[in-house]
Order: sequence, then C-alpha cells, then structure tokens
Amino acid sequence: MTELVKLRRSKKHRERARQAAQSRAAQRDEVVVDRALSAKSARRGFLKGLGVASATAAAVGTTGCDDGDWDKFFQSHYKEMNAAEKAKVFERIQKEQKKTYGTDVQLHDPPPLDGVRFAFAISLSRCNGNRRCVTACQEENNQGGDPTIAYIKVLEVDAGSLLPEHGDLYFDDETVPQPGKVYMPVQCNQCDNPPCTKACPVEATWQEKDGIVVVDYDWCIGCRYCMAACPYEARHFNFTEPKLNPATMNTQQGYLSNRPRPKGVVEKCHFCLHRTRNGHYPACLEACPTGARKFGNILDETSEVATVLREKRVFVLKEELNTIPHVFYFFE
Amino acid sequence: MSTTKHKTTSTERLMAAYFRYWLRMLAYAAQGSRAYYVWMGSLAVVIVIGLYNWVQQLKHGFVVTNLSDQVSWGAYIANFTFLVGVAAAAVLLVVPAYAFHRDDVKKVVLLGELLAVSAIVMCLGFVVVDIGHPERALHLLRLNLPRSMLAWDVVVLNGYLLLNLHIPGYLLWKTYRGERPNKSRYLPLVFVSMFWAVSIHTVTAFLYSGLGARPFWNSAVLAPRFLISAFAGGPPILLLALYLVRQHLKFDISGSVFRMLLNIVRVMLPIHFFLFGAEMFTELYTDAHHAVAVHYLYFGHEGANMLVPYSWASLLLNVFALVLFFQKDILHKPVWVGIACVSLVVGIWMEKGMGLLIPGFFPTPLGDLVEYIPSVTEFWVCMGIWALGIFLYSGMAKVAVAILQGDLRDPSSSSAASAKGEEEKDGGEDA
Amino acid sequence: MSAPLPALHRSQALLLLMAASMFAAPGCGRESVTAQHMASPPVKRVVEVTPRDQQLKHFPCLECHNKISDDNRSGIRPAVHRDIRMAHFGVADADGQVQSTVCSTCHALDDIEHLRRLHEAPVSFTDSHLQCGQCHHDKLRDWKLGIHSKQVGSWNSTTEHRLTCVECHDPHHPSLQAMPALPPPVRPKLGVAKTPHGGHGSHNPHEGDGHD
Repeated sequence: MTELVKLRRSKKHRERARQAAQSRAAQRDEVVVDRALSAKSARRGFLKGLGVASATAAAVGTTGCDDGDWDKFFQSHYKEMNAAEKAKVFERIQKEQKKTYGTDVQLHDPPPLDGVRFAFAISLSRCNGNRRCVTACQEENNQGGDPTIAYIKVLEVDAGSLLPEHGDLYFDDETVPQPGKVYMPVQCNQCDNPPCTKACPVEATWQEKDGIVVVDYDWCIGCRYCMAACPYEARHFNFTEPKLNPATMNTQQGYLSNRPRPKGVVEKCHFCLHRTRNGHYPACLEACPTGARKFGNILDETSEVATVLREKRVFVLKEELNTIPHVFYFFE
Repeated sequence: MSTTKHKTTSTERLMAAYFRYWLRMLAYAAQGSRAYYVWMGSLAVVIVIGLYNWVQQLKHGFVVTNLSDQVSWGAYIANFTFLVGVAAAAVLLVVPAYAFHRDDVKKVVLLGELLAVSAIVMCLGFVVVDIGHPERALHLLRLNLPRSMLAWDVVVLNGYLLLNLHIPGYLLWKTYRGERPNKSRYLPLVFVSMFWAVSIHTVTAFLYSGLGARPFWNSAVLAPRFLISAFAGGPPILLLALYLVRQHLKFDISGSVFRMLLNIVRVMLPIHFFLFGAEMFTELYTDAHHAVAVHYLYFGHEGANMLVPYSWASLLLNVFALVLFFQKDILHKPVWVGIACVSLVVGIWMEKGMGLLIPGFFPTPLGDLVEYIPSVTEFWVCMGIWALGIFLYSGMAKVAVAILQGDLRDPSSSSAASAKGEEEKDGGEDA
Repeated sequence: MSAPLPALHRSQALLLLMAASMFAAPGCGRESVTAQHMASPPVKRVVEVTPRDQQLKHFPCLECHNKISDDNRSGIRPAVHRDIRMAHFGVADADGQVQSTVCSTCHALDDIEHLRRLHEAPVSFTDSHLQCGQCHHDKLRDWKLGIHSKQVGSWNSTTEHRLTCVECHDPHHPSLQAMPALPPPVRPKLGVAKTPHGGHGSHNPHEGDGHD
C-alpha cells in the first residue's frame, strides 16, 4: 500500500510539472489555432484536401465510369419498374452489348406463368457424371472464362452415402460411370423457404410466383451474404468482368437470367427462365445424354415431375434445414 | 463572415460559432508536435496505399483478392467483426460512468465513445471495401427488414455511430462554449447507447449464427461468445488508448480507471475461455461431421493445415494474457500491461477474425475444401482502413482532450473565462 | 414510378428493432409462394414417338428377305448383319458361358418387318418399346409415366414427344456404354483464376488470359 502512496506522490509532482508545461503549450496552441484559422494556412490546407479528394475521385473515375453508369445509378429495383422503365433499361443493355461485343441481342422479360411451380427431378440411377449439363448451362448462360462460373456441380459420391458433404466435386475419371459410385448434380434448388432471399439486405434476390429465385443483377450490391446463407453452394460471385466470345454468345437473353452479368454481382441457376417460361426445357436437360433430368410444373398432376414424386421415392438435399427445395432426387 | 446590415439573430450567431468550432477543431487537429506529424503522416501514407489498392480492386474486381465462391468472406469481414466488438466495448466505460456514477470514468468516457466512433467508421470502411458495388450503397435505403440480419446490422451500426457522434459531440460543444450541457439532450441517449452497444454485437453475431448452411456458426453460443470476447478484448484497447492519451496528450486519467478496466478483463477473460471450452466440447465430443471445421482449425484436415499454427498461436496469446492480467501488481509495470494488452488484443483478433470466418467456409456445404489467406491487395486495404481509424481517433482524441482541459474554448462565448473550472463542476454534478 | 422506401428515422429503427424478434423468425407468417394460386387442371397428354422405320439402315427388310429361301438358313449371320453385336441379357450359364438372346427371340423370319412378342400380336419397329416392355415391364411402366425416358420439345405441351428405348439403347447391345466425362472445375487455390501461367487450369472454351 505504501508503495502505491509513494508512487502517487511522485506522480503528483510529475503531474504538476506536466500541467505547467501543458498550460504553456495550451497558450501556444491557441495562438497556433488562430493563426491556422487565418486565411492563408486554412486555404492551403483546404486546397490540399481538395487536391487529395479530386485525386481520389480521378482514381475512382479511372475504374471506367461512363454515361450508362449514370442511368444505372438511378435505376429502380426490378419489382418497382413499370413497363416503360423496363423498356428503357433493356434498350440500354442491348446497346451496351452491341458496343462491347457487336452482337444484336434480344432481351426478354418473360413473366411467370400462372398455375406453374417449376421443379426438377433427377434420376440418380441414370446420371453417370458426364458433366454435359454443366457445359451446356455455361454456354446457354453466357459464362465467361478463367475464372468461369458453373451453376451445376456434379458430385461423385460413394454408393452407400448420399451425403453431399462426402462427395467429390473434382472427380476426373477417364470414363463414367465408375463402379461403386453415384453421381449427383447439384444446382440451385429454388427453395420455397430460401435462406438466401432472407439474407439479402437489399432484396436483390427474391422468389417469383413460379418458384424461381431470381437475382436483379443491377440491384445486387455484391455483399455475398446470400452465398454464405445458401446450403447448396448454388450462388456464385463474379470476381471479374466476364470475358465473353461474341461468336459463341447466346443472344436470346432474359433480364433476370442469362444476360451478361457485370463483375461484383452474384448469380445462380434460374432454371433457364428465358426458356422455360416460354415452354422450353432448360439447357441442362436437353444436353443430358442419359435422360436423367425431369423438369416441369409440379402443380400439374400429369407432368413428369409430379409423376416422379408420386411414383418414386424421392429425397431432397439437407431436408432438415427446412429450405423446401424443389430439386428432387430419385432412383429407378 | 456576413457583412449585411441586418442584426444577426442568436441562431445565426450560434451557427456561425458552430461552424467556427469545426474549423478550429480541424485546425487544432492539423497542428502539433513533430512527433505528432510523424505519427499522422505515417498513418496518412498507409491510408493512401490502402486507397490505391482499393482502387485496383474496384478496377479489376475481386479477382485481386484471395476470395473464392467457396470462401466468399475473408479479411475484410474478419476485421469488421472484430471492430464491431471494439465499438461495443465502449459500453464498458459508459455504464460505470453513468449508471454507477463513477466520476473518474466520467472524465474519460468521451474518449471511449470517440473510440467507438473510430471503430464504427472502420467497420463501415470494411463493409464498403467488401461489397462488389459500393456505388450501389444507396440501394441500402430499400432495406430488407425485418428478415435480413445484414439489414439490421446496417441499421444498428449507423444508429450507434449517430449516438456516439451526438453524445460526445454535444458534450464537447457545450464544454467548448463553457455552458452547462442540458441533461435531457444527451442523458437518455446515453442509456439507449448502453443497450444499443449490446445490440450491435448481438446482431452481428446473429448474422452468422442464423445461417443453417454453416454449422460452425449455427450455434447458440456464438452471440454470447461475441459479446464476452468483445468485453475481454475491448478493455485492453481502451487501456492502451487511454495510456497513450495520458502520455502524449497530457490528459490526467486516474489510475482507478485503469484498475477498473483491468478488473473487467479479469472477469471477462475466464468467461471467454469457458465459452470457448463449451464450444470445443460440443464439437469434439460429439465428433459429428460438423466437427471438421474445428479439426481444420486446430489439427488440420486432409492435408489442409494453413490455420493450425495460427489457431494455436491465438490460444496461446490469450492464455499468456490471462496469466499476465492476473498478476497482482501488473499495473505498476506499464510495459507488462502493454504486453498483456497487445497479446490479448491480437489473440482475440485472430480468434474472432480469421479464426471465425474461415472455418465457417471449410468445409463448404458440399464438402469442398478450399483454404484462404489474404492477398497483398487485401492486406493493404485492411492496413489502410486500420490506419484511417487510428488517424481519426488520434485527431479526435487530441481535440477532445484540448476541449476538456480548457485549451480550446469558444472565444466568443460569455463564459469562456471560467471555462476550465466549469468542466470539473459539470463532471461532478451531471450524475 | 414508385420511389424506393424512405430512409428509416432513428425512432423508426428503434421501434423496428424492438419488434424485430417477433417477425424475424423464418417462415413466420409467410406462405409458400406456390400456395398463392391454384394448381392448373391436369393436362391430357398424348405421347408421340419418332417413327422408327426410316431410321433403320436396312429397311424394308423384305427387300432381301423375300429373296432368301427357307432352305438357305444355315444359322450363320449374313455379312449385312455382321455388325450387330449381340449382348442382350448376358447371363453366364453353368459352364460360365455368357448366354445372350438370339435373333429369333425378337425377330420372326416369317414376319420380318415386325417384332414378335410372346403372347401378343407383333408390333412395328416404331412400337418397339412395347416389345422391350414384355421383359422390362417396370421400365415400360416408367416410360409410359414419363419417368424413364428423355423428353424432347416442350414441358407444357399436350403432346409429349418421348424418345423410345432404341433411341438410347442399342437393342442388340442395350447397356449404356461408359462415356468420357468432361473435365472437372478448377479448384481455387487461394482465390480464383490462379491458374498457372499458360492458363491450363480452366477448361472452358472461352478461356481468356488470366488476370495478373
């Protein structure tokens, strides 16, 4: 205790000396402050600050802003745009693509059909892991290269386990199927209780009436919270501006689906809504050489998917998470 | 100043004085000793380097980082998470000062609140550099409430920033003017900020723990762990900051404040270890598939072991700090206090930053195993933001101390003469 | 144009904060999107298949088979059919010999342009699935339901065009052969696009130069 008292006393001495110096410094500071406030140095400091600010702005400006960016800045959320605004936006996008790629693009915005809830049913007896669905999807959806995005992941799982966590995404077999393996393609499940739409802070992603979970690429701020929330790794981020080959681009595009996405936004499988909302099959189903994919309107009792759900024992991935996915797996 | 003929109203005079107050504060912050210039200058250099790297990220996209689809959050959000805790820890000064009427703490509580401001500015900075389209930040005006935890985080963080700008701002302005602060203008908000501080860190924890896709985070104990680690790791920062303020800004801070902070650590750090142990037991004893993340952190998994030395270092730093903090007379050895503080801050930063983020992504929901360490670009952007926060705090603390000590007073105010004594009186009676 | 929602005032934010716990529960008060509209009435579907006759290499069969006399049957497969590899229903017998079906299991020499069935009337090549379905009745059932098949065309048309068995399975050698798998995705190594110089990591046809 006495040590503390001694320390305190000597501390007091030091403090008094310090305070004396402090008040002298304070007086000095007051003069300094007033001088600083005087025109010259204030102006100088201000100009310096202005210089730094404009240098920063110029630096940011070199990131490639142009006229279209001004319109983009004020563009509303997709759900709030009326037909005229959408037409303007589509025109801008078509013009941009003409400028960048020289392609004439048809940009559509097919609305969801009434009485339709899309679903996929995938036969694990027939999927042999050939990955043609993966490539077909990339070609349909204008994916760039290096890095490239693939909406579909095909997992090779040992027979006896159906846990996707035990699957191998990077299997590189000469031929497929390999004995003792089951192949499971995974893509966005277009859940009825999607964790991703719950997570998005700006509602850039939402579920439409026909069950498809869509992304407004011009609204997404790129925070990637939805990617953390998705239990199926179905959401992908554009790490760069995609490098597209104009010769192989798909010019039949949907605003919410396969139009070229800018860097810094999230995208995902959208069940080829620019095709399916017009009655066609998704690209992955058409490419599948074994016919393992079944697609249709789950609300229509006579559709393939509804039939599969009725006739076969189906399961979904991570059912315990209560996401209510609409990609069903079955064996024949 | 205006040269019109009409008589300036009192409001106009007040606004002019307020404007002049800001100019004087900025001017005061821009001047100082040589050491101060070196300090602020080096920080400014780091800020500029960080800015340059951020511009590269804006230009080329996130490919300049080491992020991937599998590990979609990294150094930026790791630092963000840690700093939300630092901001919340300001409540450890606010509660004793205003709820328990500790005058010694009351003297320094503004410095704690300004630290919260710096921390929140850094948090917002880390969020801005982490999103792919910062120019679309205005889209946040259309918040997805009440379902999105990130939207809630935006609300609570900005609210907390406003609270911690208003309270010290108002008190400092009143002190500058030599006037008594009006309790109704700040005291209710002080009590709001006590709960709000807890809420910012709870909401940040909820945005992790609400994700069923990430079993490593989907744990009830995550929110308590966040708060306790903030209360264990925040006081060391406060200790360091207040110590530096006392040494370099010649502000008289009573030793009892340091003792109080030390005692807070002595309570919170053991609780931190208990919660850590509880988490480890649940994972490792059950040994379900979810335990892969913990195995990866501390033992490596299938050849991936980048974070193993990192995790053990974090644990050892925390234990080392625990031992030091429980030394009886440690407050008499400032060097050891400094070592203990740095050790604990670094240990908790490691555990709560990368040690929390990366195992949430390893393994991925489909069993993919992808590792991550920050890239050079990310490193410099992080350093730039940290430098910005320290820069801001240095300037704000310098100005705040000057005002509190009476070195900066409104010359036009009537009570400028008796300002120095007024501040102590205010401090004592505003309880 | 409706404006985006106004910024929250602090007071509103506080109120919302207090009310948050009541509404933030997942799925609370939220209907499934699909429940909002009624199911569409069942679509009467007609199944159509591609006529098979024109796809056969040697059709019409009678062109040659009219000229083969009964006396010429030696059991040796003529050259024109020698490319047919028989491996249908390969089961090893007691001697380890793999038995297969023979031509006459499905083809009747006296009705060469039809496929013969065990107990029912012969079917044309276009309806070959009805013949396969004699043994593979479970597959036929699945095929009729639309489960075991490849649909082409449109998912919501009243006519469903399905591929028949023989359009995927060679009837003489039906098991699907192993096929090469397309290359796997690139595993990110500390970030994306970190392919070694030369860009061999990405197998995407749109491979651009790697970012540096």
